[in-house]
Amino acid sequence: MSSLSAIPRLWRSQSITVKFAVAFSMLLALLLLEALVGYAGLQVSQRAEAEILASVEIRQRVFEMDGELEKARRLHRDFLLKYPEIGFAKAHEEYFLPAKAVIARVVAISDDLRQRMAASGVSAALRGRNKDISLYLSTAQRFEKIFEELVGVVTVLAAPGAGLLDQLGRLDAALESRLRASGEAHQLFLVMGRHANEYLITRQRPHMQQALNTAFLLERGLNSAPGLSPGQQDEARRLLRDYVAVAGRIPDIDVQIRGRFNDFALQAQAVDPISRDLKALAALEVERARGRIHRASRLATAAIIATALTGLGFALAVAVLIHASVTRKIVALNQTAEELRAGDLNARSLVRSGDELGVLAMTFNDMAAQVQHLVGNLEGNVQLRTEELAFANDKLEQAVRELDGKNQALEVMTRTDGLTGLANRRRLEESLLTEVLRARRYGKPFSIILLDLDKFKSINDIYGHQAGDNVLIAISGLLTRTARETDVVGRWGGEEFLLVCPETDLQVVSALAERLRMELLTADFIQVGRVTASFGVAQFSQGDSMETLVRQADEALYRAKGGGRNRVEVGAAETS
Amino acid sequence: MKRSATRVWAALLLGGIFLFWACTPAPEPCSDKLGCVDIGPDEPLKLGVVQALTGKVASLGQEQVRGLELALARRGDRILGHKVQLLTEDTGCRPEGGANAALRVVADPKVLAIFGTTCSGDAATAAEVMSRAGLAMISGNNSAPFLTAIGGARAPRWQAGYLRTAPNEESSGPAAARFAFVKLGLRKAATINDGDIYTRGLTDGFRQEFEKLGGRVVLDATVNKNDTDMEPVLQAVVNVRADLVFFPLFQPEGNHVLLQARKMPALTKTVLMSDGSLIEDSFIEAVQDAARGMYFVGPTPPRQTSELEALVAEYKARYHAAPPTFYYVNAFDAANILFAAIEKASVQGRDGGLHLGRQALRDALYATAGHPGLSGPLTCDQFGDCAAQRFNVLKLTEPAAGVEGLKANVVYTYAKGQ
Repeated sequence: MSSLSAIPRLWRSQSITVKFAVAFSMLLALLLLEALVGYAGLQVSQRAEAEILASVEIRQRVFEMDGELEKARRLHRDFLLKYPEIGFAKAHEEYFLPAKAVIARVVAISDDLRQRMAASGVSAALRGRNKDISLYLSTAQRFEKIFEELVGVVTVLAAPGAGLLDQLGRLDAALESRLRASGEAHQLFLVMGRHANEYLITRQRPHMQQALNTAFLLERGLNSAPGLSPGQQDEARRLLRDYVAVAGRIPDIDVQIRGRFNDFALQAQAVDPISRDLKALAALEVERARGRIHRASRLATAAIIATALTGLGFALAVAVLIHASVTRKIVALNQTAEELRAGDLNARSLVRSGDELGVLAMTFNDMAAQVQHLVGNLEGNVQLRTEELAFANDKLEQAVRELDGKNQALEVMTRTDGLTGLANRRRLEESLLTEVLRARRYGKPFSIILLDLDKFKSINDIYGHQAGDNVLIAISGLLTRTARETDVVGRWGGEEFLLVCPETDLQVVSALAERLRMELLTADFIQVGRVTASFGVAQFSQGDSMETLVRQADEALYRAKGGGRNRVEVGAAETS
Repeated sequence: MKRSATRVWAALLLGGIFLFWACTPAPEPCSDKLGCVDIGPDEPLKLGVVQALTGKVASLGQEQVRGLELALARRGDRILGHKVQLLTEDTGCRPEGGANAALRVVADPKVLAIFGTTCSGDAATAAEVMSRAGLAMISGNNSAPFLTAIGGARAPRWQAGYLRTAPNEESSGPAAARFAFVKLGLRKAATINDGDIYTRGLTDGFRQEFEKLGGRVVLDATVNKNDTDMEPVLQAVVNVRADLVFFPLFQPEGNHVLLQARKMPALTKTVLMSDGSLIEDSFIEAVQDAARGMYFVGPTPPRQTSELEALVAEYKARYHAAPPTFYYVNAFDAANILFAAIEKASVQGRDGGLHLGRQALRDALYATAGHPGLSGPLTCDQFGDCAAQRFNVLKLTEPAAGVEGLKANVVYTYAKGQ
């Protein structure tokens, strides 16, 4: 228990470098573990694949071996079936020699198979069947030996000319010719021949024994056979003894042939299950190896997933640990620093650990205490300087306000007509320039109205300049009231006024000009009475400048003057 | 102090590794010219059993197996602490069966030796396979002269490594011939074999001895195994007017010859003689009175001793029947000779494993001398014959007395060299 509680303590006492090193080492260890699991799975799969390959090759060789042995058996059977028809020499060439070659291949294959099965690449079950292959090999060798023996005894029995059967046939024919006229002896000869034929059909030895018994009687009867001279009797006796000798050997040869056939049957009984079992076992081994690959794959996948999940969990744990050991402390330190910056000189970090951050927190707290101490001494001085600064600031703000008033007055003076209070020519030109630029940039229409009081000189002349100035002031008021809020109304010079009408086409501005004319016409000016004015209007077109626009309005005004005054004329656009 | 302790531990560890390496049994090097067999501590000791277990002579094969089992049982079914595993194969009492059965047995490289066979014809082919594979083989039943020695010389079918405890019947035919010629005064004889080297060996031995004595073998006939119609061959006997027919056949061919001969009036006075293969209760029961007056030549039965009586008691206890013949005794002796040779030729490791040279085993078998067999003292010669050649001629006078009555009625005894 004490050792368990010592772990967090030990952990806290470590430096950040050590903590990072431990955390990342464990992550690396997990990665290595995952790689090892994958490698182990791969190894198992590779081994199983090698076993599959070996098993498939073994099965292939067994098939090959079995096929070759079957071929040898077919050749052996064909030899026995065909030699009476095609002759021994040809049968020997066509069947016996190929059969020997095939058996040699069987022996080679089974020997190769035995070596393959002894190799470590195959399963223990297959290696355990090596003795079966030894049996297969020795049986194949025995097949060759017995086949040779069989051909030998068959040759003795049935070789054309020299074979026992042919010999028997010739002796039978010779005896027939000698005994044909011998009466009872011939009858015995026929009986003997019948028994011999019965044997050749049934291969039951008692028939041949009967033939031999009859031969014994025939030999005794030859002495008294009619129609045979002593020489013929001797000749017939010699033939008969040869017949008995040959006939007596045939059943022995038959027994030997049957023995060889039995041998083949026993060989087949021995090897057929071996090849069948081996094929089945090899197939089973393939299936087992496949199953092993499948299981290893599943196991490796599960292990990889498990280690990956563990790694993920561990990574999260490391993250939590690092968060607890590093990030949280940095955040706490940062927060304390913020509080300190906000003026809370009592703020202190609560981080306590043996690592670099713990040392930093302690240093920070010392610094904060030092700052608090220094701030406590400087507070009075700061207060005094602050009051002084506030006083100086008030004085400065008052001076600024005065300056602003003067600046505003100067601004009004520079941009306003002194008599009428309308925009002076400078401001009008600024407005015109601004609208020209806007119209050029955004394609918005704007128009101007230039008006000139008719016969103003006579007013000055008749009623004096003061009366003229009063008219100008009254007209300024009328224009300001009648114009729209967005329009800029100004005194262009003398008794000329200019209205800048933004976003207004020629039709609207003409109507506005007409309304101004009518207002003016109906106004009654003190001392002067009625006053009229002539109007020239113009609309800005692309390509116009401020000067060309004013010139168009001026020309229209001139035409209005020329047309009898107190009227509105529209300026024509200039062609370039 | 700490460093010295570390050194001590390191030395102990190294010493332990060395001891482990030194104590690990290394495979014994093999200097035997025929190769060696290594049997692990927990591995069984394998013996091939090649006998006729089906067919008409299956009972003889079974007797051989029983003789082996009794010998094993006396050793607790273990040799040198190893369990004995018997790989049993049937020959069917056919030469080709012997070869193929032996092939199956020798395919297992761990098999030390073969116990078999029953029939001599099987033995000739099986021994050939066995000898080529470098094994040893011992039989308690084979008796054909062709397998070992004839006239003191190596016989045609002799094979290195083949031994037997049944007596060479080289003297069986001569014993019959001598009895016929000398005791019965017969001069014309006929022989019938079945083509097998065993029966042919007997009839050949008979003919040589009979003709040497001055008699004539007027018929040397052969019947096939499984023949049932024996009348033709018996007619041949009639034709040649033989005084005696020597037919060392097995059942059922021997039965057919006897029964059909008894039905032929011309053979009423003809003496019928067979050999040990028909000295069986089953034969007497099958032919009954027809066998009365018939002669049999066979090996002298084992001497009745207390050891033999103990073995008979074990036989009866184990198989719940009395032994039909005494050939199981030869099998018992053969098994004991084989076991003794294995023990002699084996080198046993500290872990109990066995290392055995194949030639060493053969040498140990051939070196058997004065073995106290229950069939008599056994000394194996260079040809593989271990039993003395001593034969009795028996006459069946009372079928009801069975084999025991027959064996008791000894009319002539022949021992080689006497």
